[in-house]
Amino acid sequence: MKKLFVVLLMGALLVSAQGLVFAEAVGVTEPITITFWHARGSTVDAEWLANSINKFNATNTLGITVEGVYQGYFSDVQAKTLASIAAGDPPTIAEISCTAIPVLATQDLLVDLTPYVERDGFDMDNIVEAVSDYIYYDGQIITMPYTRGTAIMYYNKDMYAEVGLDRAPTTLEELNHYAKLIYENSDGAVKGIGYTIEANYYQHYLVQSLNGMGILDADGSGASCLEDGSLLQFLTDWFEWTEEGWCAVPALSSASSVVQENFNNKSLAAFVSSSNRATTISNNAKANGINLGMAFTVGYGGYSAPIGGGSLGIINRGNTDQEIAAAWEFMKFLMTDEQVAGNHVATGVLPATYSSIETDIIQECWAENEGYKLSYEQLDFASEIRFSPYVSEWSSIVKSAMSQLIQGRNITPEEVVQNLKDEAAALF
Amino acid sequence: MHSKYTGFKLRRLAVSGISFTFKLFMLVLFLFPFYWMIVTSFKTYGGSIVFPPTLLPHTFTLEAFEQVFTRLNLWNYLKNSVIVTVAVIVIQTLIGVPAAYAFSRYSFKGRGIMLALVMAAFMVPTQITFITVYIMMSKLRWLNTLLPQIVPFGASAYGIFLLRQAFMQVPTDIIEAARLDNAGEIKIMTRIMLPAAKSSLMTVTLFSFVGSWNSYFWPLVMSNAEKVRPLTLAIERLKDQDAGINWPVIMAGNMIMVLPVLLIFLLMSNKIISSMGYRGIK
Amino acid sequence: MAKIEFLDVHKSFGSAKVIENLNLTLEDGKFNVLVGPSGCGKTTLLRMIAGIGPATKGQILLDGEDVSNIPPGKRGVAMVFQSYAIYPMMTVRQNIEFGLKNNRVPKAERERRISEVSQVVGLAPYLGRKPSQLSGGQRQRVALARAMVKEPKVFLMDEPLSNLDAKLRGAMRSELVQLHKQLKTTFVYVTHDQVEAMAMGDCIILMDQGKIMQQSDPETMYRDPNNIFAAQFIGTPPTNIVEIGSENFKLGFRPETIILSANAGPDRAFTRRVKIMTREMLGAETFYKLCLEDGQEAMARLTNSSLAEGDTLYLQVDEDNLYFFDAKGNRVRKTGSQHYDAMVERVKRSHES
Ligand SMILES: Nc1ncnc2c1ncn2[C@@H]1O[C@H](COP(=O)(O)OP(=O)(O)OP(=O)(O)O)[C@@H](O)[C@H]1O
Ligand SMILES: [Mg+2]
Repeated sequence: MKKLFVVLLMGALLVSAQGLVFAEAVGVTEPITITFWHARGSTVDAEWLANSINKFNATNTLGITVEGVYQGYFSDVQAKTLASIAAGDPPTIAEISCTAIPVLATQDLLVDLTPYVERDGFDMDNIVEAVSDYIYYDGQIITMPYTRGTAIMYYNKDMYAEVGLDRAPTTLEELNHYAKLIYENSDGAVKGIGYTIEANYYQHYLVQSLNGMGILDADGSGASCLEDGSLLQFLTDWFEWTEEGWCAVPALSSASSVVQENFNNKSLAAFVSSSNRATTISNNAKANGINLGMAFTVGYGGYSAPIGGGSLGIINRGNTDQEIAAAWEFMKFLMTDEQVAGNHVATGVLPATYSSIETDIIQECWAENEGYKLSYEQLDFASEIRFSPYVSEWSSIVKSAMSQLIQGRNITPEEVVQNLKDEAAALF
Repeated sequence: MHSKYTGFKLRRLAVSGISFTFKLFMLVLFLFPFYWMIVTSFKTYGGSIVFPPTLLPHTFTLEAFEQVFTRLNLWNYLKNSVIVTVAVIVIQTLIGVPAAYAFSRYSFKGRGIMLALVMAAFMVPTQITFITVYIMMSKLRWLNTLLPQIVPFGASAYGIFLLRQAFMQVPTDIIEAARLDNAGEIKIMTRIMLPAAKSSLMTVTLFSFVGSWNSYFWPLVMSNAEKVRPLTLAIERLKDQDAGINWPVIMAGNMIMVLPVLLIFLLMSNKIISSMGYRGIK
Repeated sequence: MAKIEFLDVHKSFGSAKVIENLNLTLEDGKFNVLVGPSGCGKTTLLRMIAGIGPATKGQILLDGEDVSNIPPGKRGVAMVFQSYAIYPMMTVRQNIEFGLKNNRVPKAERERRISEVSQVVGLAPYLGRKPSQLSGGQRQRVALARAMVKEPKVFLMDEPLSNLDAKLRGAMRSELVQLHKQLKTTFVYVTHDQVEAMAMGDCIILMDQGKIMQQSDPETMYRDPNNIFAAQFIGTPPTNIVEIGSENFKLGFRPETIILSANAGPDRAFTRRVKIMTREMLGAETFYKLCLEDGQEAMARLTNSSLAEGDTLYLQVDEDNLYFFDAKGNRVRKTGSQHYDAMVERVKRSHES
């Protein structure tokens, strides 16, 4: 359904007669209201965002009012944004996922922020290197990192200690060894580890630890993991782990929620999830009396981690210069140290600027809560999936193939790889 | 004679026993989800995910309801849901009744084609029409109002069809008698046709009510501002699966959501049942 | 009170022409009975008067005024439907009151008329009931009351008694006649039952296939039919029609005028030798089915029940009781036809030959 929606809208976009707005920095001259579409629905996220918006609306001296509109998950924001562009009534600014940015960027739907960055002397070097990949496209500055996250491992310290691991695992092999022990010691009542299927995120970093690239090549236009045996090996292993029982098979619906429920009711000892959920997950663990550990995610032979999440982009169709200028002001506000730091501390999303890390807000938080610090430190070895127009479609293809194998269990890993080869031949 | 009689009695006993068991089974089947919703809404998050699940809350708490109220500006959404639902029902009735009357009782040029169009509209799923409608609403600059949730539902093909069927059941003689009694068309519609189609009207209204009250997809697509969103979207927003679904909060939200529906069904259950019965006899 | 006139009226349903070129006048204040076989157009005629099934062509006048463009509710006519068509969701009172309200009759006046009418038809105790709680006869009265209360110029009744049992029907018949005597308005009463027509009407309009076959008072209708159809429709058993050798006219005589005897009297106009085929004893009278020598059949209706099946006798009819019809079935009367005497002669002679 959603896919159909997107396809139809792409068509509509092609014929839509909206003129391009050429980027040229202007000032906001009179009071104006702009809309901001986002995917921040959880309690902590929504609360923090409401604070941000209220603060901006109250303090900006240009008479700008931002109206935040929650549009659902990232995929919903993407679909609705495309639809609204086709309809000629888009939001001014939106929170866009890494998979959606290439879709919008390659159709030239995002404002080039360069003139504003230059006019206001915005320091691009202050942006944390690891999350800067999706900022640039074709020599333009098209987004600002906002809700970027990395996957981290959440684990039940007591359960792992009980089987003899009293620190976080450092390799996948180590993790698996103890996960299996937990499963066996509990007579199968407790699974040692569980992954949900996010091909361009969790599975991406596991494959990456094998081939150094993940499910998409460095140039973004191929998938050599299909040829070099890395994907086959990972899929074979994963299937095996779930077959043996100690690695949880993701639920067919609300998988990510089910994983957390199982973790909280102590039938799962560890799972991988976004650092963006750190606050909520910590709160729930505490409420359920779980000694929560947060750790680097591990791949074959050592640490490995992905980066994902959302960024801010301004839509360059159906918006006036004034609206765009106002959106830039809001964007700039969200990039202030106080906002970036607060965002990180309140929700767990990655701090996107170096200067924000120096603030007391973050330093105090890190002193108290190693997990938040750890997510930032993980950026040393974490990497994003390559910016590519194929990201969105390829990851959804790989995801359904994985689902067929791990959830459907009616196909062999070899067959999955073969099918993917066919798909890849058609796509790239 | 005697043995025959007891045999008959035993058989009746057995039949009524089976029927009772079956009824009980159906009752549980239908009531259990409600029970589960109610019980879960009074549990803590921890209590809601324990395995095995418990039939009663371990610790009884109103926390979930509190959360619903603090997390959502409930009144705003409730108000929108009520306005949209009432408006849809009123407009549907105002348009559907005369349309159904015309289709059932007048022969005019193009009637067949128009009826076919209405039926076609009935069969086209919203999934196909919503993009065009969305673009239309967007061009009209209506997306920040409740209108896109109301206007497209002003006419219900299903309602027109059902009412037309009911109106066609009214004997022509009665309408002609009313004409001879100097009753105008509006009067015939309201005093003669509508009372005769009461059960259908009730069915149509209930369907519109439930449809409109529960609609999720359409308002999600057709609204660009929180101030025009209905309760369904607000309740959905309580569900953030990436952060772990907080079942008690969701269920508390659902309770608030279904309460009006339940109330209406309870208050009107007599009429609903009798209207169904009436249809059955016919 | 009103006189009703049809001038060159046509009525068709789609391509089916039901009534063509109808001219008819229904006199003011009369109890007119429209009678005819099923499907002959009686209801169609009523509906044209009421305005709920307008004529395709031609004019309908009420008291000389063309009502073609006057809506049904404003014509001053009331109709009792074959199906009663009472409003099922209204109480008896509301049913009766509905027309009055629509005509903006003041409340006090409405009350007065309702109580009066409900007294007359005996519905007073049932005013609060719903039609589903009434018997068939009571429903029929509601339909009647609803018509009466409007005090119309014309009363149209479409087989109002056909749904009632024989006893109730009899009682209602005389009540309706009684009612007409009181109101003295124009009644147009439809029935397909000739007995009802004869019993109730001042003026009978006999129809067949959309045409008026005869319009007259009951007595004339019986004694002096205009055509074979009228002669046969009225009376039980129907008038016997026989052919005389190869003559181009037909002879009619009513079963009750037949004289059956062992020896043929000399002065009778029509004589035939017959054999009794069947005998049906109905109490005061007995029906005999007779077979003439040339194979034609006739029915006799006599007070004499002593004849038996298989008896061979003489059938005779007096000249006064003979009807002559031409080849088209139209009556040939003594006055106005110079062939009449010759025809009588030929009939008399036909027996000797
Ligand atoms: N709505 C109609 N459409 C087509 N034909 C009709 C319609 N109404 C009546 N007719 C035809 O017109 C003719 C006269 O019908 P009408 O109802 O007047 O008969 P009727 O004399 O009242 O018969 P009955 O004694 O059975 O009530 C019939 O042949 C009937 O089939
Ligand atoms: Mg009739």
